[in-house]
Amino acid sequence: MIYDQNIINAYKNIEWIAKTHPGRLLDAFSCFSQNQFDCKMWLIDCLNQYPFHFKYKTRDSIDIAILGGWYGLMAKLISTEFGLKPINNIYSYDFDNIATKIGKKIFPEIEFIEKDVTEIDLGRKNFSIVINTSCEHIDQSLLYKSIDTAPTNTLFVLQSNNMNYVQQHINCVDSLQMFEKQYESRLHKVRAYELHKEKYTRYMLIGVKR
Amino acid sequence: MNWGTKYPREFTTRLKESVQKHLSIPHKFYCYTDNPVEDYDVPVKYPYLRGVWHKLALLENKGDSLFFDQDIEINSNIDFLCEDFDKFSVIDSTPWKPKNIPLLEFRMTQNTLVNSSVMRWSDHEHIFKKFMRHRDMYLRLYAGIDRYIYNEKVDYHAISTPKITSWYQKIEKTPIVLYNGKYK
Repeated sequence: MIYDQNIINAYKNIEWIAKTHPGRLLDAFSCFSQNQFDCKMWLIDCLNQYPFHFKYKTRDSIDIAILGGWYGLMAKLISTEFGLKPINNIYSYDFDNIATKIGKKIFPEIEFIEKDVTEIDLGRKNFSIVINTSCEHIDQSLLYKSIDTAPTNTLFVLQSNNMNYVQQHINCVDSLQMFEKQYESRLHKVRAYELHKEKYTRYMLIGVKR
Repeated sequence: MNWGTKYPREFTTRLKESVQKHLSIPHKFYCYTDNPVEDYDVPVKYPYLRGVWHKLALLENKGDSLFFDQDIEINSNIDFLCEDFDKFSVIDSTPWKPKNIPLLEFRMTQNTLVNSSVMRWSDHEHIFKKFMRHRDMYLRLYAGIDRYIYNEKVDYHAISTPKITSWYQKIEKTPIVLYNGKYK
């Protein structure tokens, strides 16, 4: 390990969370875990290879929305690893006001917005890409509603999994085919992926809103 | 409330008989369950909730209400509980809580000084509604409803009485003994 300014800054942030929101320290560690990192890097690797056109792809730079962004790991990794286009702005939405507050402290360059995923009108913003990595936490009708508010050609990146035993998971899928089937009427030019982990499988769809 | 397979039916039957024996005030006994078989059973309304979280859903029921966990022992009269229904009440757990937990550890683990093995309410649906509004976040943050109630500024009243004790205290035959945490 190289002890450098990044590590010092990380410890400063941990200390700040421990002092101001001690009940969130373990939750933040979960957000920044190895597994979370792996799954989000996998997403970006696949997204960077997406071959089709999507909304505003010809513009100089694009806006990206992360739904259910938690403490901002997805947004941060996208900001440094996304390679298809230069990014104008990244918006990380979450209804959890403490998570957005902590996120702002750790990643000041990201725009954190305190809002419930189900209340975001995607038609009122100019997002080229909308990422939701927590479909298993959200009722299917609300996920559809969220996609339905977005303009045609918006690129959606969706993740779910088969971890039915987790109590927050109310909308798991059992297979990649099942996941694809849920969105075939709303997305096209879909690329579908699965990532086998030790205890579960994560599924991902990247597709353009019809 | 009997959800899942943790407590065999005998626990419910024993609780019903105990309440009947030691609560002299007229009452009706219900068991909120995912496996309704008796005429006093009421099926759970939110099947996607797990375990203890179903207890919060009980707060949708209006009217003077008492709740008892199944892992309690009722040894003598419990009429003393039938007062102050206008407050949402749970048990003060400080008498059996370890005194030496460092404050930072206590706060980091979202620990609690209340226990919901016994609850009392009449019109407190708002507590359940608050939980349901951001259910996903609360389930992520809290290991159980006691931690939710204590850490989320729920307007609760903590019942502090020597008539309710925990098996951790090793005091025998108080009117109510909680066996909280004994059956894993």
